[in-house]
Amino acid sequence: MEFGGYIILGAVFAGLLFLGAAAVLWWAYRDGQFSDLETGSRTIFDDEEEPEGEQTDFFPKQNPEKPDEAPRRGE
Amino acid sequence: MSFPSTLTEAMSPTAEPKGDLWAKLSEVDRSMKVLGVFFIVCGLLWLMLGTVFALVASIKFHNVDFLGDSEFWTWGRVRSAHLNAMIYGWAFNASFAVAPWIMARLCRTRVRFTNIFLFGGIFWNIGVAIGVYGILAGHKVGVEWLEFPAYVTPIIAIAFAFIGVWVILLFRWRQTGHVYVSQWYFLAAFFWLPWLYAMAQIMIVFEPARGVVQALTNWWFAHNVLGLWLTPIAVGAAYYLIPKVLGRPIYSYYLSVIGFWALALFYNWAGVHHLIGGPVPAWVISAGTVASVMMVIPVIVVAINHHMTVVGLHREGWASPTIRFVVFGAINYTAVSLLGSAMALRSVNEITHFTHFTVGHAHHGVYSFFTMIMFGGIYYMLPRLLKREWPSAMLISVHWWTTAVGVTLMVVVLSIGGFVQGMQLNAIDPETETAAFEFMEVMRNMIPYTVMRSMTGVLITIGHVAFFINIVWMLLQRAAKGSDSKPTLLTPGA
Ligand code: HEM
Repeated sequence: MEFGGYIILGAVFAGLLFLGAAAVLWWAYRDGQFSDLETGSRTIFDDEEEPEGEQTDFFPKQNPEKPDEAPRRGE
Repeated sequence: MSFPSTLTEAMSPTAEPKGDLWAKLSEVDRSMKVLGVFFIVCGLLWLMLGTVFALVASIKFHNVDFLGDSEFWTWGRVRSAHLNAMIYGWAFNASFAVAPWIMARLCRTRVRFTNIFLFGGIFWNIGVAIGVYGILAGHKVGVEWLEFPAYVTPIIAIAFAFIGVWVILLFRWRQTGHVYVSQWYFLAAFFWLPWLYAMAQIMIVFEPARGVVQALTNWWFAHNVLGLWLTPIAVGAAYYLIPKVLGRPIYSYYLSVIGFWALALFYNWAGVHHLIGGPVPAWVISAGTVASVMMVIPVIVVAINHHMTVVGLHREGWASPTIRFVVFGAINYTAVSLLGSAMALRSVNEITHFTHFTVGHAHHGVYSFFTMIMFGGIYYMLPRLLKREWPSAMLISVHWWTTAVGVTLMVVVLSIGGFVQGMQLNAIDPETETAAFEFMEVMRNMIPYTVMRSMTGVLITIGHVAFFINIVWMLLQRAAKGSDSKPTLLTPGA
C-alpha cells in the first residue's frame, strides 16, 4: 500500500474510534448517567460493609479505632 | 429475571439495580479470589524476573563486559527482555488483578464464568514466557514494544481477546444503575487494547508496512499502550482507591467525568510525538503535538481531584499503605504528563530525544505513576481476597521507602544525565563548525549517571524483595479457622 493509502486507513480507524466514543457518550447522556453525579460519586460506599466517612485501610495492626482488636483482625 | 445459567443467556444485559446477581462486597471479593491471587502471583514473578533483567541491562552501561561472553545476556536482548517482562508480564498481570476486581465491586455482582478469564490469563502468561525466552534466544522483532517473536503473538492476542470479552461481560452483569468513573476507564481499556494489539501485529509482523508507516504504527501502538491501557487502568484505580480508603467521595466527581471523556476522545492522536525529528511529514507531527498539548486538560482535572480529596486527611492517609502508594502515583501522573507535554515541544525535544532523558521519562510514567498505583491496589486487595492481614508492617515500610526514594532518584539522575547528554551531542565547535564532542566521549561522560542509575536500581530491588517476601508469607500463612464465612476485613463485626 502507498503512504496515502495508510493515511486514509488510519484516518478511518481514528474516525471510528472517535465516533465510537461519541456514541457511548450519547448513550450515557440519554441513560441519565450525568443527571445525579452527587449520588453517583457515592456508589463506591456501602452502608453495610464499607460506609462513607470511615477509613478502610491501615498498616497492619495499626487501626486506631480498634487498637485491641487489630492484631486479631481477619481471624 | 431468572438466574442465567448458560453463557448466551448471561450475555443479555442485567443492568438492573439490585437484581438477582446483587452481592455484598465480601461476596464479590470471594468470587474474585482465585482470579485475583492468580494474577497477583504471576505479576509478582514477572516483576522479580524483570528486575533481574533491569539490573543486568543497567550494569552493562558502565561495565560493558559484564556477562558479555554469553549471547543470551547481550545488552540488546536483556534490555528488550526487561521491557517486555515488565510491561506484558508485570504491568498487564497487575492490571488484570486490580482492575477487574474493582470493576466487580462497582458492579456489585458475583462474577461467573471465571474460567474464561483464567483461561485467557494462563495463555497470556504462557505467551509472555515464550516471548521473553524468544527475545533472549535472539528471535526478537526489531520494533520496540512489539519485540515478541511472531510465533507467540497470536497466542497473546487471543488470550487478550478472552480477557477483554470477559470484562465486558462482567460489566453487563452489573447490578447498579450508575456507572462510576473507574468503570468507564476500565471499560475503555479492556475494550480497545485487544483491537490495537491485533492491528499493530498485523501491520508490523504479518502484513508489514514499511518505512515511515512502520515507525508510525510502532509509536501509535506503543503510545496507545500507555494512553489507552496503563493510564486508564491506573487512573481508574486511583479514582476508586483514594476516596474509598479515606471514606470521602471524590472532590469534584463532575470534573472526573469530564476528564475521562477528554482522554477517551483525544489520547489516540498523541502517539506520533515520539517521531519528532524523524522522517515524517511535518503536519503529522504537528497534529500529534497539538493532541499532546491537549492532554493537559484531563491531567489537570485528575490533579485537582486527587489533591482536593486528600486535603485535610494527610495524617489519616499516611497511616494507609494503599494511600501512600496511590497518592504518590497520582502526583507523578500529573508530573509525568506535564513534563511529557513539554517534551512534545520541538525545541525541548531536540535536546532530549535519543538520550537518557527519555528513559527517565519512561520510568517516571510506568514506575512512579503506574507501578506505584498497582502496588497500592494490591495492598488493598489481597487482604480482602484472602481475609488475612499483611504479615509485616515493616516490610511494607521498606517497600514504600526504597521504591519511592529509588525511583525518584532514578528519574532525576536520568533527566539530568540525559539533558547533559543531549547538549553534548548537539554542541557545535564554533571554530571548526563540526560536532564539539565525539560520540564515544559523550558515552563516557555518561558513566557517572549510569552508575547512579544502577545504585537506584539496587535500592528499588530491595523494595521488590520486601514486597515479594510479604506476599509469599501472606499466602503461606494458614487461614485462621472459620475465616471463610467472615465478611470483608476491617468492617465492624468482622
Ligand atoms: C529495578 C528497577 C529498574 C531498573 C534498574 C530499570 C532499568 C532500565 C534500563 C537500564 C533500561 C534501558 C535503558 C536504555 O535503553 O537506555 C530500561 C528501559 C525500560 N524500562 Fe526499566 N528499569 C527498572 C524498572 C522498570 C519497571 C518496573 C518498568 C515497568 C513497569 C520498566 C519499564 C521500562 C521501559 C518501558 C523501558 C524502555 C524505555 C524507553 O524505551 O524509553 N522498568 N529500564
